[in-house]
Amino acid sequence: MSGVAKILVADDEQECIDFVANTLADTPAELVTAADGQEALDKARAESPQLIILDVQMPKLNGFEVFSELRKDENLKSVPVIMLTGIADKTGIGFSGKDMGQFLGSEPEAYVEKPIEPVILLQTVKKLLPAGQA
Amino acid sequence: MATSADNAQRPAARAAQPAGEYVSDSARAADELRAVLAISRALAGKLELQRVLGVAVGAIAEIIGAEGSSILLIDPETGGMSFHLAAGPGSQKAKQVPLPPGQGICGHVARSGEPLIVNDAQNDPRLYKRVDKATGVTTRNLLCVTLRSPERLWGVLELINKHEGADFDAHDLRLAEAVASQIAMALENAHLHGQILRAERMAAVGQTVSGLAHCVKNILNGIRSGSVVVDKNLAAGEYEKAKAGWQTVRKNNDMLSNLVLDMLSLARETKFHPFPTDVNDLADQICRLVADRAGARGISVTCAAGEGLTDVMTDPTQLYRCLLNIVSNAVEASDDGGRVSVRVHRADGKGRFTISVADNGPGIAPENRAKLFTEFFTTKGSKGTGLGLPVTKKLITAMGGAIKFHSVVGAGTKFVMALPTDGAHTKRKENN
Repeated sequence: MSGVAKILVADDEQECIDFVANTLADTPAELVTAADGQEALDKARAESPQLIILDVQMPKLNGFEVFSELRKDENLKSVPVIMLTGIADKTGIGFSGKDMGQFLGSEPEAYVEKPIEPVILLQTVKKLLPAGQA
Repeated sequence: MATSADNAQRPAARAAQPAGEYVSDSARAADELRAVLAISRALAGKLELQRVLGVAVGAIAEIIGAEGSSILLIDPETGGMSFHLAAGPGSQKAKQVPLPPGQGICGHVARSGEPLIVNDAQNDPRLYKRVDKATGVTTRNLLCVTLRSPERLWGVLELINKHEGADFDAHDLRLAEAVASQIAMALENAHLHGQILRAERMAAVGQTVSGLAHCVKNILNGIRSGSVVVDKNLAAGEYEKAKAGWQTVRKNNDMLSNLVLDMLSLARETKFHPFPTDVNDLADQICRLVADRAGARGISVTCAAGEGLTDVMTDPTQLYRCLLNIVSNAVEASDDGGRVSVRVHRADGKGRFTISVADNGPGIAPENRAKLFTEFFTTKGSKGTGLGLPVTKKLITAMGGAIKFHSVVGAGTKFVMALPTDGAHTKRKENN
């Protein structure tokens, strides 16, 4: 494996993927993208990323469902996950990270709130990737 | 036999009592007076209404010597009545039987407004027999008086089955009426208190909405004017001027975003997600971000790191928001050419690290200091939402920390945030 980390970013909003890509543009990481939960799961299995960034509200499979599947996968269960939570998640219309975490038996490594603060996303990515890969 | 209140007295029987029994009658009257006074005091007190009414209903049954007593309240929508409170056998089941409007002896009393004693209830066609059926208690006789306050008829107070087969009499009626008027006043007071609370809440909502609308309007105005500048100068090929317009759009976009987040933070419990955070890096990034804007006014923003704070268990998003709020405030409060210095201090013996933000601006006027953390209070006019500091305080406190400030008019202000390095409190809160 080269020294460049592969990061999977899954979000059904292209603007959000562009925003994440822009934020991570100065890191040497390679980005793989997915537009829904099922595609995220397929790409995770096909591409073996070192870090996965998941939006919570996505078509087909939501972020927590993808996360749950990842944790059951022998090859992917130790890959760190950052969950992007939106306003709906905060207001209780969507999912509660804590409740879902308890329900799933484990929680994602980190949560980053939308609207995404670039500084927070960048620091979180750097903390979760092995040194020198981000 | 139904007897109206006036006819219910039996003066002849009383007059025929031997002189010795008058002594016992006056002793009884004194006991009753004391009991009624005790009920009155309880009803006028500050105890919870339902509890006080329960006490009153039980006590009046005891004083008069009745098997059961109830408060039936009128439903303003249907005009019918239901058992609001009942004491005695079958009282729980009685609550499940509503009285249609005007039905039953109680309904009759509520409609006519006249108190009533019925000493042969089973032969009175007005008796609502479903209650007896539901409770399993046969109503032999009953006494019923209205619960009327100056403003409203609330319902009735009813007593049933006087002990030892005795009849209710005018004396019982007067006692019941005395207590009923007190109960009605307690109901009225509780109702007024509720109305005041609702009015206060509505006023608070109105204040919040108008405060919000004001903020949003200013922000939208900024976005619109910035967009006009961008459009006009892009068309003219004036890119530097267009850039200035774009900065206005961006600044207002950030304000709108912060406003929404601040409103959510105030309205709901924030979910905290502690994560190993490089506090020095966060502080440094914020200073760089703010320095761009500050530089245009000749304000310097410096950042000093603290030792051993690269892996602090805290919520980076919330800490970022709080610190950005405080540093932005410091820059906005500074005069042109001023200085803002941010210092991160390593953990003390209690496992807390601190971040201080100091400016050499004009300071906070003494009369504004107490209001600083109050929602919608702002000294920045249209530039402020008055939510930044209240939200910052709420978040810092919820993360197990504290925020303080010290200000000297003419010399500057220093804010100090102290937070735990292990995020333990935040975690405990989350798991509650």
